[in-house]
Amino acid sequence: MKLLEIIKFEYTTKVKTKGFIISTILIPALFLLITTLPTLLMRYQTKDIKKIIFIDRANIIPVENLKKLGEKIHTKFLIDQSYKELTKDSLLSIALQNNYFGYIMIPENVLEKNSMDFYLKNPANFSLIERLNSFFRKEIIKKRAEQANLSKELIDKITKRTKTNVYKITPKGKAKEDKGASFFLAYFLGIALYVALLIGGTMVLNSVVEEKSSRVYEIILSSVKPFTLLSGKLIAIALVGLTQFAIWFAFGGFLLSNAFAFMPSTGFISGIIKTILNQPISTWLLFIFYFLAGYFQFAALYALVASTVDSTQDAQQMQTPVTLLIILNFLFMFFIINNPESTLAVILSILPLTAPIIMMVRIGSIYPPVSHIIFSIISQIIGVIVILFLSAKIYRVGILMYGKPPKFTELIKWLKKS
Amino acid sequence: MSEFLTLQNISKSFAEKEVVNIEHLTFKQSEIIGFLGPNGAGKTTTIRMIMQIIQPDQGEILFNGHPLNEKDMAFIGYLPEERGLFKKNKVGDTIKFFGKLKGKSNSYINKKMDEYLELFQLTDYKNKKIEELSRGMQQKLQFIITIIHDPQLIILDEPFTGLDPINVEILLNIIKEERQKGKTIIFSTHMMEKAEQICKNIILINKGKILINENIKTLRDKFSTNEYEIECDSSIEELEKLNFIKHIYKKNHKYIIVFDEKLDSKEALKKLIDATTNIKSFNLHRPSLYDIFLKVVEKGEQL
Repeated sequence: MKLLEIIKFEYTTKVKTKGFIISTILIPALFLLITTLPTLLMRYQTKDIKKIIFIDRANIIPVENLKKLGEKIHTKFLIDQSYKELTKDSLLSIALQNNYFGYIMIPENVLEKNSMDFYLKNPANFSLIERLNSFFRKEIIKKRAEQANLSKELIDKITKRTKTNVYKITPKGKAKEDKGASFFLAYFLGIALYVALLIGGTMVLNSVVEEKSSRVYEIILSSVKPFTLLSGKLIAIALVGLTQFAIWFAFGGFLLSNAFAFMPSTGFISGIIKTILNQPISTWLLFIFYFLAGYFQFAALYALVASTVDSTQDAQQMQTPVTLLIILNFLFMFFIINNPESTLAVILSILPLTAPIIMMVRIGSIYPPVSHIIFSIISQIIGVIVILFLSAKIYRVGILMYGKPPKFTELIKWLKKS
Repeated sequence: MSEFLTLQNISKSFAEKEVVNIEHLTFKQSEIIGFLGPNGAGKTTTIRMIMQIIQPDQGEILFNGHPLNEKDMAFIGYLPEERGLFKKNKVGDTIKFFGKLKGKSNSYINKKMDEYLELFQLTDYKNKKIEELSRGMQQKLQFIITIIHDPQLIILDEPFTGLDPINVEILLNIIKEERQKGKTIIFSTHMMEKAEQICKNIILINKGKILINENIKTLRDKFSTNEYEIECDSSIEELEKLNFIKHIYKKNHKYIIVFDEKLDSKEALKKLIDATTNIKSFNLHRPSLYDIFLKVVEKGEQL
């Protein structure tokens, strides 16, 4: 079987390259870095205690409550009677000189004026500001309640926080607790496919251009039909991709379980990783299907483009429309995560060339109806066949043509040639 | 000898322009045929149609009596003019790959490969990547790939470009050996001396049409009419004054003389003996393939 020989040859050639070995090791290492680095950095940050000057002109905040908050958010509040008399400018200069994080002042008339000021070095620290906000809001509410002569028990009852829990509705009617993992699962699946399609497509592009520029095609074509050659190449490179996935899956569990050692076991990120690992097998089967469907469609288009050019430089230009199509999917991704049931989401998750990424994003965020998945699968199979057929027709002519890249109208002529 | 490969009413056009139009062309077994023609004559297109890389618009190609099909490719070896190999792959792996594509077994390929690598002094490069080879070495490798599957028909398009004289000799010897084994070799080239040296028959094609399909000897006799080559002590000025000489020119110490009427060698020699001093040699001047090529292609002369 010639096809088998081509697959074998292409596959062993690609797997032996340095690029393959490097990317197999580097990509999970990067992934590990991206997932663990933020938590490691956050820990590092915790050792660094911020100092904030605190002035309570209204005398409404109990110092022990403020201290408790300070411990939680790694901040030391500097309370000194002498600060009370200082102007805004001198407070700012003290904060600057001593490298304090800032100052917070509660004005005397805070209960009437309904406003107070935070002066902070880094107002982008949203989580800190959110903690400060909720603390002061609560204390002010308490003070108002006291003034209304409510008893302490009643005040505690009123200001008690309510914990909110989010559940994901599954098609069987069961509900699963979801701490934002759905968003990240959808995001993870989408990004993984996006990267895989770009890498796979680029590999095909480079491989075809390289063979064309080394003028090897006429020798091969004296033994093999162009369609066999193209299918062999596409299948071999798909297998290279799947080999990489398989290696990552095999080591993934090991790596992730080690990664847990660096992370709080109940933390947000470990929750996401657990969600990803706990996906039913059907999710992964669909993932592989959509990877292959997307890969064969885009790789065939990349092969088409590559067959029409002689050099890598020309290839870079001509590939832009195909790459933009993949990037377009990426841009849609965020809209789809937020609106996975919208008409646009449904249409995009069925059409060829968009479904692979968009459907996986929908599967990550909600449970799409089975009928949508079936339609989408059928449409992908048709898409793969049609795109492969058209690409092969142009590829067949293109690989023997040298010189100026053809115009679009010429490509249409090539299509018509038998 | 049986008809081995036949092209029947083959035509091919690109963008409305007819590139090849061959009424009938037959190749016999066990011969070396020179396939000649100027650039753009339709040589490569014809060869590509034989190799089924492109399909003719019309006509039929017969191989061993049946319409040529994909399976026949296992019996044909082709060294294209536009040739290159996978740079990143090893020499041995590449030969094996192409041998396998032609349907040969591993053991057969390994045996043959070692023989040929030895012959072309490439044994030490078997496990080297192709990009480490010089251009000449790559060309020898391409030749090995062309014949690794022991094809019955070998098509060589400009096989000598870039080879040093030693390797040209090695290649020529192999080509002759293959012919003796009964192989048919179609040899396309611009190097007329090489074609003259090894081909028995030549085909001359121009503007897609076959102009000449002849045995080289017969062809040269046909084109040699009233030209003689002499070596003598007379100067060219003296000879130019002779009234029976239409045209004369110098070629490596000798003169080529064109008489103004058609003469056989006896009459010609008689006239020259009387008119010149001390003739050292006298020969019928057969035009070289090169001359014939120029005459036919440039001046449109016909047989």
